[in-house]
Amino acid sequence: MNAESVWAVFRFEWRRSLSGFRIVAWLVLALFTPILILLVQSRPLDPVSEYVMGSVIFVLVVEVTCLLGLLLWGAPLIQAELESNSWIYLAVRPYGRVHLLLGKYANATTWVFLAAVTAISITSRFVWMVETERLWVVIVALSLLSSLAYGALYVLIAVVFPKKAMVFAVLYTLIFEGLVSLVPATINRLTIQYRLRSLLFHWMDWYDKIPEDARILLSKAPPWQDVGILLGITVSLLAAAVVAIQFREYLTGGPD
Amino acid sequence: MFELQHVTKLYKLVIGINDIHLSLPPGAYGLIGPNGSGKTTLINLLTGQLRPTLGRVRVFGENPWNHSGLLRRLGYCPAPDPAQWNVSALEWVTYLLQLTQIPRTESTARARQALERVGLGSSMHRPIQTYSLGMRQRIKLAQALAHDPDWLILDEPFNGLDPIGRREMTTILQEWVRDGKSLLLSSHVLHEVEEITPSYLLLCGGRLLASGTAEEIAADLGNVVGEVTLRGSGMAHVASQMVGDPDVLSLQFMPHRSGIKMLVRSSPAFRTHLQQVLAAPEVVLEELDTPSQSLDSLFSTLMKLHRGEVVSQESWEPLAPGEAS
Repeated sequence: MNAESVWAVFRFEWRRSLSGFRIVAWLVLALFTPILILLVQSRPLDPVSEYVMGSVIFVLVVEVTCLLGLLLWGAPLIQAELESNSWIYLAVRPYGRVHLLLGKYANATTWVFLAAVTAISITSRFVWMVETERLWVVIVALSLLSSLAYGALYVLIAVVFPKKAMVFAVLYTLIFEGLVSLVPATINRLTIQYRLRSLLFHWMDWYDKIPEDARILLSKAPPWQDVGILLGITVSLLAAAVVAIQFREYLTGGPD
Repeated sequence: MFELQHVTKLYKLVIGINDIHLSLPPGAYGLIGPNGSGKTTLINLLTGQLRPTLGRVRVFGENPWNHSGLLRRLGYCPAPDPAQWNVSALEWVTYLLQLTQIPRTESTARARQALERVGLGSSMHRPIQTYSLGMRQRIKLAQALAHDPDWLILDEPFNGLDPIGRREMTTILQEWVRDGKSLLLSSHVLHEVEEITPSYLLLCGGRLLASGTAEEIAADLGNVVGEVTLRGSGMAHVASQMVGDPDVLSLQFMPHRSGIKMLVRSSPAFRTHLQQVLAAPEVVLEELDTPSQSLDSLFSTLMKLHRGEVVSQESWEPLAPGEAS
């Protein structure tokens, strides 16, 4: 493998993805959270706890923005190449499959992370909170971890199920990251969402402020452990994707 | 060097290629067959994109599956056009060279050279989506030969080319072969393959029907029956002379004895005998239709044989003299 080739894929994909559709989609992702928060705040609401507002922003930026972006640009990673017939040109280059995977992964996570940073940066300008700057730093860090981990997850799904990657990614997200992560049992520790949520509450010092029975949904481990686990998940998923893409046959046409 | 040892590739229940056994030393070869004959499957096996279901594939003596080192020595021009072309030809070829692990500055220089070689020197900075189909074919060729591979594998490179483009593509490939480089050229445009290489692999239904030069294939087809049609006057004389030839398997007069049709085994002896008979003064020949030795004809005969439309000599007994109908 060669880092220069991964960088070449990243640069080429970046240049190629500067299309009108991509920019509009990126703007929708980046502006979705600020507009929603602005609408919520413009209506007279009962005062809410700071952690409730923070959690809403967390859900909108770290979950909705990052996941939607990665579903759009990470999940169809292989299928897009197969459909556009460009796969075979890249696959016949030395380690071309791996370089393509890593370069496109980096490209997708960068687009998504930048959308998330833009979203929290605009939102933090007008949201009512005491520790706005702290929330900005935490959400940016969580967005980075979220982009990397979910990006790796979707890339693995894309490699294993290229034709139905989007469907499997949505199903996995809804079932595991949506439902299972909220199940008050050990199984929720296997989800990325559980770690991200725990980090939010620890880094914002909200852990002691929430009702005691809700703490079962959060990790008691120190934040560095959760970060370590998230990075471990990311590396493991990416490694699995790299191995899988090397050993999978991709049909680029009929059996001619 | 390419080697396939009894290779079969199945796509679930569909046969891609079926028990192909061949060895290709460095050289130029035309891979010929109709659509669905298994040409692309064979190429995908050689480029390590597919694993054989049965048998063994070797490229330069090594298994190409998952063998990145081998890919530097191959230049592949696939049949399909990439759909996303909002970059220039120079950018695209440079990008693919970088993926061949050639440093960026060198990649740009090599990309320029390759694009100039295929005649796109003046338009290499234009977005590819503004190119004609023929120009895109040339870009595809440029990306295949830019890293100076040992073997060039081309899948239907003549598709979409106008006559001038075909001539230019043929010239480039002839130069490639003249330079001593190896080439595997997949096509169903037989006469264009004939202009580039005299060696062929004929595929049909996933099977290798024949391989070698046209003469070698023709020799292999020596026991295949072909039809010779003659029209003119003096046909009774021709029939009486030819009916005893051991290579004539059947002979039939056309209405009013205006001509004859013979099922023959097309051997050199038969052809010499026929020439002598036709030289007789009472014979005036108006039409002669014989099985041709062209690649087109050989391929047609092989296809008929494959489908059971033509029988081999073993199925026939030569006629005894005087048995003409």
